[in-house]
Amino acid sequence: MAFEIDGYQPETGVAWSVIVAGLATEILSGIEWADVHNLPLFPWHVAPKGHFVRIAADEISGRRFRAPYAGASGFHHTPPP
Amino acid sequence: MATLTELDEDECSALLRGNHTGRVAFVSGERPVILPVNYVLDGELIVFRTAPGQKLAEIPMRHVAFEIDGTTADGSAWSVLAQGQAWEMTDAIGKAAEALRAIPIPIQAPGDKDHWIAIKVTQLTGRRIQ
Repeated sequence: MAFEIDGYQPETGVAWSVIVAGLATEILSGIEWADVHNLPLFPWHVAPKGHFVRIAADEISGRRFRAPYAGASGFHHTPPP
Repeated sequence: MATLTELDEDECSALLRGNHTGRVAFVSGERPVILPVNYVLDGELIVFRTAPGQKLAEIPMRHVAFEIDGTTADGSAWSVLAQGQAWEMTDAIGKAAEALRAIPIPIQAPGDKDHWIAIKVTQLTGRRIQ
């Protein structure tokens, strides 16, 4: 499984991204489930999401760079039509 | 109560056209990789530039996925998923390839990105949560 997050800080003009790679497993057993079911996960969509998936990260990398024009040209999302 | 709406292809295209940062997902060896890129939508092509490296080695002539997402002031969230075959266009011959290489792509990351890759979108889906 590959997992990615990215972002942009308009105040500093810095863009960044983080990549995690690892094996994904569904959490099925009792003790593990007890560990995770109280995590503060708030899916935006409220349909029942009754399965927990864990990615055991064995590689993590990230980068950061100054992108002074990002706010004007790239990182701002437009609203849906 | 949040509701989930499927976006039609025109809405998905409009969102792809209106944004310039997305994430391209591909297989490298046996593993999936996902990386952010700056891109432009040109017709049914998602066009981006890259330097020699993992993306250039693994993406051309393969099936890839491409994702963008965002939120709006009214509190809704959306995402668009494009899938299709990718081609390197750096040395492609013909007027269409030349026109593609003339597209200004708002690249933010440092470094020379002198290779052109185009994803021909064959599947386009999206959803909005309100």
